[in-house]
Amino acid sequence: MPPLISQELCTGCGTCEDSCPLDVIYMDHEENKSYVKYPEECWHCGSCRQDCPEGAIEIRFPLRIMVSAGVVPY
Amino acid sequence: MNQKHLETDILIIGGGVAGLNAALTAREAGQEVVIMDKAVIERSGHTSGGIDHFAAYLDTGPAWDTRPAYLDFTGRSARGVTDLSVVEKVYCDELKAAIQRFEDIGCTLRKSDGSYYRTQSFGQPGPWWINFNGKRMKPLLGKAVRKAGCRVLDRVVTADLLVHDGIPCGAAGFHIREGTFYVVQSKAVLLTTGGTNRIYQNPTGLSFNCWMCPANTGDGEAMAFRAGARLANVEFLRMTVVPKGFSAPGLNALVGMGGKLINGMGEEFMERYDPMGIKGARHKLAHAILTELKAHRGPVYVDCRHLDPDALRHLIETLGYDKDTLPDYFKQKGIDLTRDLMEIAASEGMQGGPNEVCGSGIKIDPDCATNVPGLFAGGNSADQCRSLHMAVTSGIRAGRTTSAYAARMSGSGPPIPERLVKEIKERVFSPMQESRSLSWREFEDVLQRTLTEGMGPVRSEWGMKKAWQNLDLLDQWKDQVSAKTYHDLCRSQEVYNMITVARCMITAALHRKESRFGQCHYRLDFPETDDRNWLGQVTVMKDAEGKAKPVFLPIQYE
Repeated sequence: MPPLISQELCTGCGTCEDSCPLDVIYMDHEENKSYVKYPEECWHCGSCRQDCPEGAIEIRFPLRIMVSAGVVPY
Repeated sequence: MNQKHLETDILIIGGGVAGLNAALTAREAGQEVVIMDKAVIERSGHTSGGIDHFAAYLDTGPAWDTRPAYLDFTGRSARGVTDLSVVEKVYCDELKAAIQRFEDIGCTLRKSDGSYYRTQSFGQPGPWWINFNGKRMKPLLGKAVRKAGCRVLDRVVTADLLVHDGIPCGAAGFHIREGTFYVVQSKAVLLTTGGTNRIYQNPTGLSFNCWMCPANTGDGEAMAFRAGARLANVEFLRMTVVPKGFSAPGLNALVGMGGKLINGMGEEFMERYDPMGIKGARHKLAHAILTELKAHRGPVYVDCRHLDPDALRHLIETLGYDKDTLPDYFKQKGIDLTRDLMEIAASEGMQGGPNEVCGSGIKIDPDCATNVPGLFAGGNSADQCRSLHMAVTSGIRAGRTTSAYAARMSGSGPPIPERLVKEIKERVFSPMQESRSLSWREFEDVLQRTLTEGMGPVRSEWGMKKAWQNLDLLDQWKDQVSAKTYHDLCRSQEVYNMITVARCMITAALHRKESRFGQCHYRLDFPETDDRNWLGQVTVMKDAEGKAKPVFLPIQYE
């Protein structure tokens, strides 16, 4: 799920693609927009949002983070 | 498939804090540098999104603010596995240069009035943690490195070291998007690839929801092991305290400020576990929380309602310096710490050293050198280094020593045998064969479950032997791991490296027949700490057949 890239605000500059330490964000060169290709490999580090010059990126957490249910397996 | 060949004096694998600091120092010494990183170095590694604390003694007068106090604390708190002769060289001797480096790259550790904001935690004798805004530290470091003239291979993951007659002559890797195969020939190789952070089950089941960077998968440790280097301190399990469900750093700041830990019955429980209470060692906090949860006295909360509201609000705002999205988490969940309790839990496990001043991984000497000539290590992948402060200082130290080593060698370094390159190339691209069908995720999941079950906070010979059997079974499936993209090929390399590290961890933990540092290494069958027999490091290196072999190396303490 995370991050959410506003397709309206994104200008396709590609900054977020380079900012992601996990290779999660890719450019769609046909649409000239970035998108989240591997959502389940996001670390929620916020690098993409910090670097986005358009403020087009929001952080949305997976439900498992928002509702912390479950047993610690240790 | 494209293949590119580069030649350099020093090859640095891993462009995190340690690697980039080494690169800057090596350039100052006039050496040619190539850096390989899985990501783009301005935002790669553990501090990509930011960092907020750097440990230092500053010689301001009090006894706690001195080199002897730091060495005394390290010697006591990591007794048995810290080698102070190494710490003196890779930390103390480089501390001034490290603080200057922050100024040089334009990311000061100081407040606007020129002073340092210092805090105390984890049983340390004084406020050694300098709190600072490190959200731009990594981009600034990356820019400085490019400006210094280092050649940077962004998005190139290292497949393996190239070793000829026991001497490393460089490394080979591939671009994780285009698949271009890179061969880098060098006189010296420095491994700064961080720890192994994705090797245990995450309590949420979200494998990349890690406390430390999930891209750090023990690649350097596994490569060093294959090259004949010793690993040390790899038996220790690292765990910490996190908001339940979100493995974000930052809670330590709340605890350091005086937040209380309470269980579901409203009872403050830390004093039952440690006379230092919440100011004690991290592993004791994790142990106490796990024990409360196991005894069904959860949920466990941190209670900050009694703290000064203004100070608390300031703290919550600055929590984002360490984990950029932690303030979002508070906001989206509607948690106001001046009013609400916050549920916490123990994090996932990691392979790590006993505390913030002693690490685990590739065994280094005072020159950051391994036992393999020409192979060096620093930062979190080296056995003596941990945290930001040692990433910077050991990077600087390694920059100096690799430069001196490379300067002594004439010509272009040892030749690279073509046969070796061909072998590695075939091996690394083999998951792309069409006949394969097992996903790296499935493989990783079983590996994580195996270590969580057998190598967790309570260990035994029988439990660890079962984990070892699981690894034998997993090995039979290794050749089925499949990748359809170069991105997934990178992930498949990661799981291969993690299973190698897992073998080394179990080998060391089986060998250490005592318990040390609480739940970092607690043996049900040897529950006591035994200083008479186990004051020293369990090291692991490969034998003639390539299997992990433990050797105990004693360390003398005063």
